[in-house]
Amino acid sequence: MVYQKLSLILTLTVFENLLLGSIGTPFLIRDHKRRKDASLLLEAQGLQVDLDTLVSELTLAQRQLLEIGKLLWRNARILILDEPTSQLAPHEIDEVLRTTRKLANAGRTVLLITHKIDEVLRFADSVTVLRGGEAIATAHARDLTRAELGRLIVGPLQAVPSVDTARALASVPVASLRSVSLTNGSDRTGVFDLDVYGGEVLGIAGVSGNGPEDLAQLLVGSRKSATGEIQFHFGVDVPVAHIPADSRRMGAVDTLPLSRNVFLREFDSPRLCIGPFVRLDVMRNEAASRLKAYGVRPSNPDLLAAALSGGNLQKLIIAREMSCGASLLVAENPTAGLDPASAGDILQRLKLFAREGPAVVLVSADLSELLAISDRVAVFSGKRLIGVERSENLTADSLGMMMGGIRLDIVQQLTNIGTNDGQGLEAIRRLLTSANWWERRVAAQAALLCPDFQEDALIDSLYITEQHEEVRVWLALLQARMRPAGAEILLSEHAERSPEVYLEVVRRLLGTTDNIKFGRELAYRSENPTSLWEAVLYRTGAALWDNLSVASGGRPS
Amino acid sequence: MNYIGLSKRSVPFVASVAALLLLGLGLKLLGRSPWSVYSGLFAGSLGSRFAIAETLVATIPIIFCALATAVPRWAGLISVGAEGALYAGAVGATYAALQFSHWPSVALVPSMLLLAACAGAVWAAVPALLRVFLGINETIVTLLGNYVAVLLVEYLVHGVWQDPASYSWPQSAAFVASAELPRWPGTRVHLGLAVAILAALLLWVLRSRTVLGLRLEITGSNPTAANYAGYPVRKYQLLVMVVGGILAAMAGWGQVAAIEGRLRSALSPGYGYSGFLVAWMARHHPLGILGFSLLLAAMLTGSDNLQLRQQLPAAMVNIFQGILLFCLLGAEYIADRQTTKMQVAHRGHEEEVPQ
Repeated sequence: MVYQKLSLILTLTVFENLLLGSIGTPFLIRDHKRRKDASLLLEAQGLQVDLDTLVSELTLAQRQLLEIGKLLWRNARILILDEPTSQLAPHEIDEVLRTTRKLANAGRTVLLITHKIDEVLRFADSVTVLRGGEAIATAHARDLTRAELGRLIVGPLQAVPSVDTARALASVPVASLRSVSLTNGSDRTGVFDLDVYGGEVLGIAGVSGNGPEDLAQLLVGSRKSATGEIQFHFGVDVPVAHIPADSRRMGAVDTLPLSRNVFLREFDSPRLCIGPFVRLDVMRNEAASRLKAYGVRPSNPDLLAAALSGGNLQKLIIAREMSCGASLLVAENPTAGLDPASAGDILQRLKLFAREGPAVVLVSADLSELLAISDRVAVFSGKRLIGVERSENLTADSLGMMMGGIRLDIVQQLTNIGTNDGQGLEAIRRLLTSANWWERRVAAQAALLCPDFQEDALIDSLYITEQHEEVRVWLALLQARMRPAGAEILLSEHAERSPEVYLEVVRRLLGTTDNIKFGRELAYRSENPTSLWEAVLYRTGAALWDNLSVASGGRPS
Repeated sequence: MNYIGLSKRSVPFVASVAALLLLGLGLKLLGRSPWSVYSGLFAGSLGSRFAIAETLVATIPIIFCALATAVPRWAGLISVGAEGALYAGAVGATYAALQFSHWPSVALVPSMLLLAACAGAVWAAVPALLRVFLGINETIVTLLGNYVAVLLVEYLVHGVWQDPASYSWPQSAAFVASAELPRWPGTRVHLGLAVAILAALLLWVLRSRTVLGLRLEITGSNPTAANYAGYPVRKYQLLVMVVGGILAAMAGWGQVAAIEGRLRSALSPGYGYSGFLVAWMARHHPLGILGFSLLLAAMLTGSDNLQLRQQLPAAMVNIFQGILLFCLLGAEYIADRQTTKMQVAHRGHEEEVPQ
């Protein structure tokens, strides 16, 4: 069993966590065989870390894999995973679920508890839907569509009313960020301005660690910007409402009754107080009616907050934050780990709240959620503001590319390449000469995907002047494609000069981060090339990979 | 601090009964009659007017020290510094008594109280500031401070404040009559009892009925949530530590002003630690502290009687205190488990009912 909240000990090493509590672990651990076994076992799960790494230094995905490794160490035949992906970023989810898929293929039984429809359809063999404590249906995953499965989970009630369309922003912002920065240093290039308007839901997109959390902290005041200032256009004693990411730990007090949790911010509001004294009976009654209004169950104000499930606790926090008279509400991943019905309810409430006048800043890792309820989306990458766009101009794909650091206008031009109106080709030409190597690389990649791009002369001249090693390899690939005859010399030259960069480029072309898969893919592609230059590219890559693998004991970085 | 069911409320009583039974069993095994020991204990503590008065006298510093432990705990701090602050308060009161000895009683008694409070506040401010600004564990600092306080008093009574009338005794000069506290006629019960009860009542109202009290409750239960809600957590932590110091200083004030009549280095037979035990037994509830202080004071007084009459070692009361603490912890554990079970049951039944 792997619990939703991981049961690893952060201050111990990977090896110690693996051995801890398993039968057969001796009092003193000294033998090398056990270490060897452990590292083999973890590597087979795709977890390539040193055994003596502290668990606190692992990413969440790696911890999840270690949890699975613990079960395998105990030789479990049946693995139960409770929402193993709820805390993970999208690319980590695949990593973990591929591992579990492999285990199932190898003959073990995996019980995957999840509320994410895509995960079920992609990785499961058979599905059982539970609703209200009853098994509603069991079916083969391949016989189900997303819509069918969604209907089974939600039930006959289609309680997701549509949200009204975007409306004009208020003319005066609620909060203005002026030349603030999310980094601590003196990096002037990361400085940006951002206005948050009343009545809007401003979505904040970005891969975790790239700035969204920092922006939320700036707004709620738990962090100061190294530069610039934030102007709030409301009274100093008006709080900034905040739905924290870790609501159980930060937003509520488990050991106190619901009534106290509901009025956490407002003990001193005039409705409750006579002088310094709080009218407890009034507080209790108001808490009860508020809990009912927001659909918190159970709604008895005398129960302890520990008695609430995650979804109901989140509703309580939303009830509190929406009632404290704030003009600005910052919500951090408010639907993380919730079932679709609760999540929909919460998003609906956020939208309606903004329509009444206050501004809502929604930080979310779920792009479809951001696009569904935001009026505008601000995208962060590398702690920089990439752009603020109206959400109707965005798709999940373009948002994803912006999160990778590319501005929307560039994204749009690049995605227009196929339409043959010349704009895309023009964009590539312009970007190839950009001062930013990042943009030159993107342009070269786009050119590689676009068969209409045939500008030998331009590429040749750029190739001579290009300084950046990685961009040079991409340009070399373009040249090789246009003149397959000279491909061998051109590409092997790069493979010799900077093997790491070369491999990295090949890896990007194949679109994989998984080492084992990469090696296999390389071998396959070099056997089955579709053109001469591909054959050279992949064969050189495969040879490099083998050399590096041997040199570094089977684990190239 | 209990909102569901009665089981947690009854923990201290169940624990007390269990401890009495266990000790009785031990006495029986030693060949003593538990009945006669207990009746001796009762006679020595509550059996006569004199015994009751002596029990009340011991109750006063225990109440103060228990309150001094409970108040920091409200904001999540664990202070064991009541003993030290008691001595600090005694020093403050002594300073006033020796310095302003020519003042009339109406001025001298309040000034002793005031100086004792100041001394306690300053004493407690040291661990409080270390905790708030440097993150140094307040429990350890307050514990170590206790030894420093006793040494400080010894330094004073062996040195500058030594009574010139008694050459070798480590004690200060006796206070003038106007420094003495009013008493219940014919007993040693003094004004401190009224102050202690008043303090407990005020703290109870503060704790359960005021904005500050509710916010302290949040701060103590989950400091992260308190920070999130924008409470001035550091200010609260400083405040509760200083108030705790003042309360414990009141115990010292009572001891020198009413009981000893002078400063001595053996002012307290561990009232600070008894207060700690009482505070945890009463779950840091001010009214509970009044009751449990009386109980513990009765045991301390009664055990004097046992030593005299039944040749039982004084350590017996320490043993009883230990057994009581274990029973308390055990009963609390069981009650916690029950509460958890009830809550899990709640979650199971009421949570995911479809609309």
